[in-house]
Amino acid sequence: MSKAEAYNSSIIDEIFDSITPDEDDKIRKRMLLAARIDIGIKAKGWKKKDLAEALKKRRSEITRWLSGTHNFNTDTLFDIERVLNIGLVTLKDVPKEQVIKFHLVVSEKVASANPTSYSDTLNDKSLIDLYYGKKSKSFAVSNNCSN
Amino acid sequence: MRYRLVNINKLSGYEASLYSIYLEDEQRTLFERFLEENKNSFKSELTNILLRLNTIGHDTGARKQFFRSDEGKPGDGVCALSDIPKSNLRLYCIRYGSLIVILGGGGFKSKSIRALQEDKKLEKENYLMRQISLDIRKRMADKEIFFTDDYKDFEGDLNFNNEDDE
Repeated sequence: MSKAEAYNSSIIDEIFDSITPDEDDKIRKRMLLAARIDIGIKAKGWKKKDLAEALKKRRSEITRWLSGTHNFNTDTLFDIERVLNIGLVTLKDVPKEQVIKFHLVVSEKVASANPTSYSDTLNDKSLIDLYYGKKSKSFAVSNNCSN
Repeated sequence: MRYRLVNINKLSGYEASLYSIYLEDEQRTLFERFLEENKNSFKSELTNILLRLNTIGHDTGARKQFFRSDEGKPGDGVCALSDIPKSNLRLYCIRYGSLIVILGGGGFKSKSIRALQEDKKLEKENYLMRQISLDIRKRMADKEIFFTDDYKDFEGDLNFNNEDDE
């Protein structure tokens, strides 16, 4: 079974090249807003006419809102939020994520074992004892906090 | 008319696949012809249409509310992308649920007319989409075209030659 050819169009690319990110963002958000209102209507078990009645609007106006082309004013959005019990406008600041970096330095004085290789070091019983507690250890720990 | 269905790479995304009709004689798609015809007179409207189609493909899917349905015969899926306020540039499409849209042509619909049949250009573009919808339905009935398992694409024989039928 063959699928359709993936088609690239120079005129589509040309028009896209002339579009600013602001235009793209605005249209995308209008459509996402319309989609969210539609989901809110359905989640409540309502139809367009129910929303129209709740807000004392004509049904044709609700159709326009849901088309993804409407430029809402804030009062309308607040009314829709209230009757559908959904969030459309974010007013509270979202807490900024804090990144805390720690720099941990561990140093230890050990008796000179003068190992010939790394594996020798690991197999040296006295060094293992030293690491795991038979002798006292001194650790220097420092940390830096930064946001 | 010889044509084939092609998937428009730039507009198709995770949420929906956008197709158009590649006309073998013109060496371009119906949607490209629509863009060429209107790029000088309706540049901002075309920008708006392209961005909305891009959002449909990548963000929202082809939700019914974004289209004016009932632009064709009952059940044929022919619809028009909703009017942008203060503009009457119509783009005819065939919608298959929220996952596939076939983009056709269209044109300017004057406020002085009510029915699309009052404008020869719109009538021609709209009736072409009705015919294409019928062609696809016949192929589906004959099990020559299928939806893929995720219903996001067509597969099968996507080349049409209506001259064979004449």
